Amino acid sequence: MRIFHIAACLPVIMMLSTPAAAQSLAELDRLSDLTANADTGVAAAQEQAERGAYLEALSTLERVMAAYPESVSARLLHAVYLCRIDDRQGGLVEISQMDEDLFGEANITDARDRCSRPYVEPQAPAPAPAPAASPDPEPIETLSLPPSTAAEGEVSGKEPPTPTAPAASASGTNAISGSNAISDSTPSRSSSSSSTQQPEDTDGGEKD
Amino acid sequence: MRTPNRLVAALTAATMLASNLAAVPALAQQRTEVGAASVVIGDVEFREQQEARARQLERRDRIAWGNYIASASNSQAQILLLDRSTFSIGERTRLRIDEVVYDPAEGRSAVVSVLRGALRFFSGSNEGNNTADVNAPAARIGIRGTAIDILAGEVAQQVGEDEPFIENMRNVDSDEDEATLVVLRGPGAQTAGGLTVGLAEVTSAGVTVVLDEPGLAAYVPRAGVPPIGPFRISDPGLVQIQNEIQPRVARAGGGGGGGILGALIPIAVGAVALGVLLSDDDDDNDNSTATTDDGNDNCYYEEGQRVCPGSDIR
Repeated sequence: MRIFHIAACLPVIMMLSTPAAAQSLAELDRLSDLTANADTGVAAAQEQAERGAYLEALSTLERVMAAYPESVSARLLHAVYLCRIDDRQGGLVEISQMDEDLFGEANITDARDRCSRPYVEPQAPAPAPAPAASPDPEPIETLSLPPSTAAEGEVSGKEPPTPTAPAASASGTNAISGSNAISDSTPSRSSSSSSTQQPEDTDGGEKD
Repeated sequence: MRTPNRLVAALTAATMLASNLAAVPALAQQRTEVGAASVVIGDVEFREQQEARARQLERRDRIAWGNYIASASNSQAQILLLDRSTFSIGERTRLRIDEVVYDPAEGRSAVVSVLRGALRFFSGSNEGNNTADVNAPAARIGIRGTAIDILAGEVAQQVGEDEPFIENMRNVDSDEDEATLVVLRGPGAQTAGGLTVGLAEVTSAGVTVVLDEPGLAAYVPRAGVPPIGPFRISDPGLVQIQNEIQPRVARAGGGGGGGILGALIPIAVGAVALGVLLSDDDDDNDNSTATTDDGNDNCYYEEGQRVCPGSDIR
């Protein structure tokens, strides 16, 4: 099985190693060819995510999900990658749509856990020490991971953590935060200090 | 003395105009290809600007300026642009590619019109100055470095008017053809990968609402009125949007125990471990045997038998 997975990744690695500047319609075809197969599509998305190209990875996964809506891998990754781009609400909503019987309780708990805390970029692996200087080096996995992720694999039996996403509630008046820069034909790009808009205060100009 | 000069000038202008007009047919026939169909599911029609007759869109079809794309119920497609930006077209959606210009050194600019239905845009290359504008029935949406969902027409009205924020307002008079709902999906300030933080400007009736956090939305009930918002989209609203953009996923189940996934229980559960999929978090790679969950085709196992239903993947 592991061999199969590596074999599935090989064409992905070869195709995606093309320089980014070499964009062409033929290259777009190669990208879409990858997602004509669920395994190579998921592998391509993983490779894109490892490069930090999360929006590309999400697009890739959506192609896989369109063709293979039964792909558990694609749907789990899609939800987690949404959280990685800071759309935690969207990721948690997708996770909430997953049936534990189908996706596995541990997977759902793991995905929810990953979405509920900030993602810490893995550090580049440290250069391999010279054998004489370090006869018993620490495993790379431990070196490259922050302490908070060291126990992520131990998710079975864990209570799902309370999501800290901006809005995971399904009812009630929605809280408004962030921008509310309303101007007359002059879009404002600085909106972090915007005011809160209440439904009662604004009717959007609607008059009947 | 001045009359001859005027005559010469008029003749020159007329000549230039005539030569320009003569060049129009040639230009009209020139096809500016800007992307390709990367996935097509179900009935998705495609029409060139100069053609009256539509045909079925196929994967790998080239997309050019002026192309119209229209999807039927339970159908969807994705257009991959040269800079790897994508437009995902949901079911019952009509879209026109107005103009896309891409220079790897300078960046990309895109203008598309969504006439009806559901559209998701993911920005591609993070390099250069990338902008995109989406013309919706009741608003113009300027987007930068963004993952964004846009609903237009009846579906926007349905989702928009179900939003608690809109429900709590008085006198919202929506037009089922013009209603427009825009939701910014990211990237947010806490994004991984160093992506450009997303931003969308929704403009209608001379008023612009800025969306700069994932989950913020703006609703324009009809043309000629200012956008309502920003407000935070509800979870049920997000589910409805997702169902419009990914109708096959919605119909596959996963939330109610039915659909295709229901038939996949024997090979789906336990065959995938999220920790393995997220190899960059390789804290738990070595203690799992998970590899693939769904094979290479659209087949599945039911009562021990391999079942391959007729596929409508184009």
